[in-house]
Amino acid sequence: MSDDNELNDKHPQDANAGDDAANDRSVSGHPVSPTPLNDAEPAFDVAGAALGALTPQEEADLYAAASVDPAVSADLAAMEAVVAELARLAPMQQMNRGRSAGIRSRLVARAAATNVGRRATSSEATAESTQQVERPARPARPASSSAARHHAPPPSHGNAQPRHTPLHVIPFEPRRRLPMGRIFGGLALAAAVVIAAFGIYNWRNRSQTESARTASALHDSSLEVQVAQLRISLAQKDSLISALTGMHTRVIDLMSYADASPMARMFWDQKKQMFIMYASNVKQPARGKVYQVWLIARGTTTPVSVGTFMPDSTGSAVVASKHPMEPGSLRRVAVTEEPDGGMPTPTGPVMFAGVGK
Amino acid sequence: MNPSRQDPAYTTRPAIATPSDDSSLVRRIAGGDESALAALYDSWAQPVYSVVAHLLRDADGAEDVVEETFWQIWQRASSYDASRGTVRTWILTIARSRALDRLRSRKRNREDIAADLSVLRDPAPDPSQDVEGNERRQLVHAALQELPEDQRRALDLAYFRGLSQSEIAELLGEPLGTIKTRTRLGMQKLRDKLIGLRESRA
Repeated sequence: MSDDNELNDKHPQDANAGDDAANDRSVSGHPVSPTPLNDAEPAFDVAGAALGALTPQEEADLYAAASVDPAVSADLAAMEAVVAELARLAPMQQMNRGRSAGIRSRLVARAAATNVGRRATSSEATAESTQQVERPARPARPASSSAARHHAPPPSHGNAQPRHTPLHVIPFEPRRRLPMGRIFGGLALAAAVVIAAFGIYNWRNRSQTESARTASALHDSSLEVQVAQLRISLAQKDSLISALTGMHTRVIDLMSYADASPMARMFWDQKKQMFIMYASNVKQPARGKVYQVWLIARGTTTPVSVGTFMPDSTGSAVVASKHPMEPGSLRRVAVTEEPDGGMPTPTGPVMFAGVGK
Repeated sequence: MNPSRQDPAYTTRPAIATPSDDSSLVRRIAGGDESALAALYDSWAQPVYSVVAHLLRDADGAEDVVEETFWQIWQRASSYDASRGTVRTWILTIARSRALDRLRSRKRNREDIAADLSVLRDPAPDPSQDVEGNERRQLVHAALQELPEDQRRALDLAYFRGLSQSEIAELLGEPLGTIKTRTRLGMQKLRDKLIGLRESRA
């Protein structure tokens, strides 16, 4: 649909207007509607809805009507197109280059994360549906009457074909007449051979089946463990991606006040009121000391402690905590070195500090 | 190469983009193609930002709305119905709805609103927009200027200030019914004028 066509949909309710309408017709020169004007208000204020200027109740009523009445829906669509035209009058305002790129990256990362979730759900659903398709096939029997006279394949294998021809089935093909003694002797010998062969086959087959069952059970068990581990890992990664890239997350870089080059970055999810701070190249605090994280809200100078941490042997640390704070109210983040157990107010040197955005 | 393709953050509508390109992107997004979301963002983030930043008067808030808008696009792309309107209209409708939610969550008093009022300025040519975009911009401005003052004011307050009809009535000291009528007539005439002006230019 072109932009022009979007504007062309009209509805008879356009005609409803008061005195203003009569004046307007003479001004515009374009009849609003072929139907006569009257003072009655239209049943639905589509113009107000397209502008987002209705009360919530009016808006709910209108959208309910639009969902069942194509005329109201078309009228609303035409008015939304007019509103979209008004957008052209908004003066151009340039987005911040870095932040726009950040938004783009976050959107793509979040979309990719949901795709992973969708694919996982889809593959699970596919596996389940496959099982559901296969299940009825197991007890199924051949439909034709001739086939029904024969033995059906073992139900445990569904529609699978037998993997081998049973050894105990020996084709019988009389070629010539033999003396009775030789016949009985031969039959006895043949029977002995068949019994022996069947016994060996049966023993080997049972043994192989048992081994296969055991291996299969172990394999299944191992796969189940792997799937469970992957699910946990996936959930953790999804949660992490959400925490690091969510639209309510603010990123705060903390600069070092020390000689070395430690650095820290804090991800603050304002909606969940949760923060995760990653620090690296952090030296071990003095004996009996820990690092303590402080938040300072706007409008106050009193730091609030949100926890202590110790870097690991590589100098890395991850601190995660929840702390209630109004979105946009974080002014400053600081990390100080404090006595083990932490202090109610900062007493030690500032190791890191960052400014809330 | 179009500069907008080089730098996603400073994009405007690429000259070669067409409504069918946008529809194709939305279809791909509905199919779970995140690269299509990135491409749609490259095309539309800047126009969306201009609209919501003008409405909100708050750069941070406008960026949040841009992000919310494209996230909603990702989640609801399958609900896009091309028969109801263009992708442009769809995107701007979503963006404006999100911006209004944000605007109305703020507590604005009458003085704030009155101090914030501004008349519609003449649209200066936007060098980043294509020729057609600037022409349409002039056309919309001309159509708006032809409206009676009271209707133009009602539309200005509703569209560019995000006021509800009740708030407009209270601000102007007029009955709610009068404001509703002015809004409706203004919108109807604007639509007719846009069609008329476009046909006459064609």
